[in-house]
Amino acid sequence: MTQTKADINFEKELWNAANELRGAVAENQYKDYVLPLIFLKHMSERYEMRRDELMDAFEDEASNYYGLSEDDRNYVLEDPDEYLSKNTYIIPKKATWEFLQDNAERDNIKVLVDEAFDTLDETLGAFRPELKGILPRIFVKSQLTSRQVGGLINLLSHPKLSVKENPESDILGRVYEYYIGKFAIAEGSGAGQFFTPGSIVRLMVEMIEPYKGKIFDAACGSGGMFVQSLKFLEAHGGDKRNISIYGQERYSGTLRLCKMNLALRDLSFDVRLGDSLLQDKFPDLEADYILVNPPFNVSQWHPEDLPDKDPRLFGPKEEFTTDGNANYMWMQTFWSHLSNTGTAAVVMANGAMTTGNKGEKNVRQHMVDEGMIDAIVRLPDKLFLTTGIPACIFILSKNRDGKDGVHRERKEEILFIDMSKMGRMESRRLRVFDEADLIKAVEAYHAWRNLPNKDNAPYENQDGFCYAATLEEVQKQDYKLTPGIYVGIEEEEDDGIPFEEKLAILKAQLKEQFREGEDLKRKILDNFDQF
Amino acid sequence: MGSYTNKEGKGIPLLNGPTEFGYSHPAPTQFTNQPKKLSVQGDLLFCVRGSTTGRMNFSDQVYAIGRGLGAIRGKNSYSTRYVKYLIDFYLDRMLALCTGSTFPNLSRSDLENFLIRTPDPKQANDIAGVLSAIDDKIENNLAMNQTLEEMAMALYKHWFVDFGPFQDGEFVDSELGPIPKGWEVKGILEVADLLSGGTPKTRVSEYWGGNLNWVSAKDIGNEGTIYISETEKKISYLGLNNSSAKILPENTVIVVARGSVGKFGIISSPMAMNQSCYGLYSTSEFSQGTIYLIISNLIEEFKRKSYGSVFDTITTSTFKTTSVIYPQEKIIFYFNQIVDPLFKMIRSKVTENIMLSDLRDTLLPKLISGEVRLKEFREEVESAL
Repeated sequence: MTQTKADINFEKELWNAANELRGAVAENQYKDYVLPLIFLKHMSERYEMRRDELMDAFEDEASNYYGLSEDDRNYVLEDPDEYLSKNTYIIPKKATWEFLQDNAERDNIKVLVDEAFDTLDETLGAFRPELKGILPRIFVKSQLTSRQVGGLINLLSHPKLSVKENPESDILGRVYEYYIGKFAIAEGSGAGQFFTPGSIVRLMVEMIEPYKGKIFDAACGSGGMFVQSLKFLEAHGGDKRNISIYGQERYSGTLRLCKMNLALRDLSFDVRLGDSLLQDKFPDLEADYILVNPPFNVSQWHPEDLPDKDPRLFGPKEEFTTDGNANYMWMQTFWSHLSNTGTAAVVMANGAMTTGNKGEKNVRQHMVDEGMIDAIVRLPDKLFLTTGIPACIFILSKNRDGKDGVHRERKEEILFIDMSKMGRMESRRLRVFDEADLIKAVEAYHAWRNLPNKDNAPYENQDGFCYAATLEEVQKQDYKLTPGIYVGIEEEEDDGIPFEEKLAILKAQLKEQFREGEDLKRKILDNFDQF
Repeated sequence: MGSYTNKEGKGIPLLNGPTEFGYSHPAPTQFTNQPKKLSVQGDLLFCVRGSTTGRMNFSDQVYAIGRGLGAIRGKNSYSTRYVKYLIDFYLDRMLALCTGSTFPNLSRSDLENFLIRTPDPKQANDIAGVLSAIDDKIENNLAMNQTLEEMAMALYKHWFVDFGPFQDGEFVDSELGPIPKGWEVKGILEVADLLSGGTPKTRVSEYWGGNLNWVSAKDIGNEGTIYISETEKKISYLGLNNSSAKILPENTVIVVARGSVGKFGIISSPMAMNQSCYGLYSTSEFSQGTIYLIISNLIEEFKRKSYGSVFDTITTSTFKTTSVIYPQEKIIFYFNQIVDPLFKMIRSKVTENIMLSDLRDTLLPKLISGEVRLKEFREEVESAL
């Protein structure tokens, strides 16, 4: 897919438009106003498109709908099933975008928007209870003027932003992503939980290949991991009906965004509200894939509130948790939610690779000794929009015994990949991976993990990049998991000049410098005589 | 801007500011196909904005220059070199004119309206000749040091990485790969002591500004010099005694462990250092020069091994888990004998450069203002060279 310059320009306008909300709405709340409108517009346009499609069918001789009577036609046009089969819903007039656009200049537009939200919420909720409550009444009670709201509606009405005008372009999805990305910047350092950069998600997805089965994200934020998985699936010719999505998110506002994000893309899902650390909302879930970027280094998370016999814990609560850092409680949570062939890709703070804190190190040690860790990937810094903090990826897997006929037996090994020197600075603050970087890491992992096959070159350790360590080697390094310890350093590029020749060149150079030095000395002294 | 610049050497070398400046001319790292302004060889590149306003370099080739730099060319028979010394002399007064709020910012009109007194071109260019001979010698010393260091490094690699002189003998396996028979692998802390530093309390003013050099990362690797002879901050003996800072013996090799991880150098006289650095002092037959070469060869490995929750850090365990090859003593002695004179030479050139730049700084104002005649300085100069 080519990303044209025009897209970038229109994205800039979107940002400027959001800035018009400035003053009335805090920056980190722009999304709460803009995104529901975009969602409504999308739902409304899809309804129109399906309706137009049916109308066309009435006139099309090749269609089953051809030649229906006036009454039958009206019946068809109002039959919800005709829409549901295309993942669309009949939207009552006052919840359509057209209606809002027509009334954008009116003084009571704030009321009309809130009513439209209510109506849409009810309409969707009637067919899909999980969507109930995603569109709250927020415009009337906001500080926005009716002119600002009208302006916003007019702006979002631009034909460029229409699915109808640009079918197949996923334009609203992209607008949505753009806003989430931009707002993540405005959100400040707390936005890690809200947005995982595409580079990282893409790497994780390509590595663990979630083709089908249950995908779980215990800190799902706005659902970016799921959307990326969907893209991966589409790119590899998969079918989204083969995956089911489970997510848990602590903040209700973010969970609403997540639901809209998933509904926009016709994904079915089960996402629930709650703090995964203390209230596991899916106690029985066994996921085939876990993709997750939990908040880093959460302290004071109250492990004392965990039941003593919490089934997720690897051992006694006092020894396997610490109030100072929840990183390894997350790890235990993910492990407990993997099916017996499941694989998890987890974004983690770097500190987790080496921390010596008892409540964390015990868990790490247990994970190494029990062969739970499949691979560790060290990431470069500046990959995140909002923080320069360097991070890593832990791949955990229960599918390491080599019995599935696809993957190699590797219970006594851990693959270390060091990407800390990779990526390209896209701006002064943000680094991204190039396609070649992603391919290099993904291929190394697959070559190591998979049984030899025609698609993969056999795995080889590469100095400075990847190394398959035995558990014994890791134990010898006191369970430290920093890839740098294992991968060694890159073979220095030899200039190819033999030593004798190099020394001869340097010698000649030095002689010349000595001679020059003598000349200069003389010149300096002579200068003093001349004056 | 971004799309027109590259680091692959396509187009004309680009300078946006003084980042790439060297002692007298820049070492460019980026290039552009769409230059806006060009400097020609011999021009004086002059930094016009920001905290680095007034920094200068000569244009040794054609450069594309950004808005932060100006190109100055002598005219009316005044050499560009003379203009440079003129600016050196008047810089403080020029900066005082600057209008920038936080940082200085010199405009074209600021420069055009700046009036100076100057001798006739002949005399002016003679003055420039005197001063630039000194600058050229400083640069010559730097280049010489570069060559000497490369030689030492090439010798080290040849002997202890490629085992060039020992190819005819027998090799045995070791944890560092095959090594000549009779050699050993030792932990780096078995061949050198690890020394640490400290910082006197910053709010006690008596601890600071004394006579004792106190090394921090900033003092290391400046202008390509491996020796640290002068530090930005100094402490007093009182400060030394009331902190964990210690005096390190001369020639201690210093490695930065936090912050600019992996910068390293040698101190040319006894000094103290802060706690972000480690010092290495030989407890074996290796000379300090050889220790320097060993560290230089290991530094990438240290950087790889460095870890920390937010910032990478070299820790004592980084050193503990690092091994080096340890040849028979007679080989070490022999190697020391070859490289030690190279290091001594480097050090003497560093010292010479300090004297030369002192001399230039003393002469410059007096010559530009026409206060002295050179002959009066002859004796002092002869002792410096």
